[in-house]
Amino acid sequence: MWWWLKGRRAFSVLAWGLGAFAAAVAVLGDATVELPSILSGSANPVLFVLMAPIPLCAALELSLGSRLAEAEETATRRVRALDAGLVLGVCALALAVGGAVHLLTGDTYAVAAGRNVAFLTGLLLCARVFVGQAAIAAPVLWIFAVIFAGFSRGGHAAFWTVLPEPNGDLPAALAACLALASGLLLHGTVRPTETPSPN
Amino acid sequence: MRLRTWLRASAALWLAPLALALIVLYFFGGYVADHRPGDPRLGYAPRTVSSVLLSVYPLVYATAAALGAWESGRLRRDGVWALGPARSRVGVVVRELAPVWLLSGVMVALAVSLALVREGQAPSLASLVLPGMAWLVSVAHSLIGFAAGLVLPRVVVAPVLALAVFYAVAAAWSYEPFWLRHISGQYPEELGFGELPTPASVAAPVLFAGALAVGLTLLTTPVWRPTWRVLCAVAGCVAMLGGTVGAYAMVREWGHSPPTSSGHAPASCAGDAPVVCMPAATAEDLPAVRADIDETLRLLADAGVAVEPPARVEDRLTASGVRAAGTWRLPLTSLHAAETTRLAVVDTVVLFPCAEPDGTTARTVMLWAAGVAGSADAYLRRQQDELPLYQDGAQVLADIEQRAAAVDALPPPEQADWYREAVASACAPGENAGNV
Repeated sequence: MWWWLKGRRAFSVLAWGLGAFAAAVAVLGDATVELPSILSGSANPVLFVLMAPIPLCAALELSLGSRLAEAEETATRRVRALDAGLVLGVCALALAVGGAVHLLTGDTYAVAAGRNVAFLTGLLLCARVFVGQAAIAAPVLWIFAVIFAGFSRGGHAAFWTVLPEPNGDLPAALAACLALASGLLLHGTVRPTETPSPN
Repeated sequence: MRLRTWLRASAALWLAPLALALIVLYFFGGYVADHRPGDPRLGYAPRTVSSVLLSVYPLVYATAAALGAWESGRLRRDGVWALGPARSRVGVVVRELAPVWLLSGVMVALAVSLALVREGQAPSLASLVLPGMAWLVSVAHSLIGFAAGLVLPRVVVAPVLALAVFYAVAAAWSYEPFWLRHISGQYPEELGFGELPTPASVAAPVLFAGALAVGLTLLTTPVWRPTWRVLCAVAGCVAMLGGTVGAYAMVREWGHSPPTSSGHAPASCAGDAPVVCMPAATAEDLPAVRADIDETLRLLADAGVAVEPPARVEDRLTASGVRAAGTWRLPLTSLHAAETTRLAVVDTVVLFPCAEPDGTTARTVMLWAAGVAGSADAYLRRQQDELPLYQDGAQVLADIEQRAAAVDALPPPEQADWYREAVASACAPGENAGNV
């Protein structure tokens, strides 16, 4: 267990990812920035914290990719179940960080940032069984899709965007649960066709 | 390496369809929806190019930075740096990044050519300045990404750089210290007709991004001799610091908009006393505009208005530099389109000896003068738009129409006397100071 945690670089990589996430949520808060949209042609206000989950998702991908394929495929320990536990643990920690920031500052998007970590991690896990390491593009492209096409002219977010919804939004929370569940399911059942490589 | 293999090995090829599709979507969603070209004869390629590029810069830079990081991670993963050297390090880097540079160039070129084709304009050399800047800055971003990918895992660096660069550049125009936007690489303005960016406003972002690229490249280049290693590190830091400070020094005085140099559209002039100059594109209006100006000046002089004829009348679109004495600058092209050239001449000639003349008297004088020049209707239309904003606007409008009609009924010499007295009395102290 301890060696497995070290092998997954839980402390050297995941801790940094969590730190970056916590810093982004705490510092950027509910600050928005005007970004050009392709729907309205003009700028629309986008939350800064939309990008906060990305360092953590990338760290998770790096961590899950740090494996000894031959040994793990034939292992007697249930490595995939451990991986699922690791993913759930990271998402729970992200939610806890968001909750802590929310309690400290009253930020209405802090817990949502933790929920977004779960959602984007689900996307990442769904994509990585098919394309390997390049799956990190999936959460990035989702964020770009939200920036480009997620807001109407009035600055109102469309239903599919999930990310810009505030803390207590039920459909967004359900979407995050669904994404994470399908990601874990795929991760636990589909054998990747190519060997994920380190770095 | 064969060309096909070289292209297929690069992630740039796989990202290209998406990146180019986004450019096309930006073109239709942003440029086509929002761009108002105005007079179609005033096609000016630098203006079109600057307008379409506005929303493209962040996308191009983010793509270049992320792909640079991804490609450098690929070299590291495949152990290329551990192989015996068959090519120089520079050669390896250039081969690896050339598809990325190609993609950046194609993205910029696609946006520019879509806009130019839509406006039916040919690109001029001057209109390629901003695309060239965008490409150079994206090359610098790809080198920054490459250097970062040499040190950190690509799976972390590439997505973080993509979002960070996009956020930083796209939000540049809303940053408060203005110098940030001027070095961000996003030229934040749509150029006007006849305007070009100054060399400094293009050089500053290239210097900033380029210095960061050179500095980071120096810092990540492995050198074995200890002295050289120290020298490389010092040179890298100096380059980054120097470029940033240099770019800052270039732009720190600038305000909201970067400086532009104007008067780059060809002008054609006609006549003498006054010489009338308009853009070559709208030169077909010159005879009519000249006739309007000459006729109005003559009519006003005949009616007793003290006319000081200008030596030269320039269209503001082509004017540049400091205005010489005896030169008028009027928006001749748009005035002619709105058929208000005569009224503009009246506005320029009929002056009051004080800054804030009495409203009703001044308007009566202007209405009378506009009537002399045959443009009373245009003046009344303007007042009908303006006066309702005031409390007793309708009253004033009826008043000035009535008074002007009374003056028009007088014989011409008395009208000239009335004009001189009215101009003086509009500025007399104590006279009904209400500035309507």
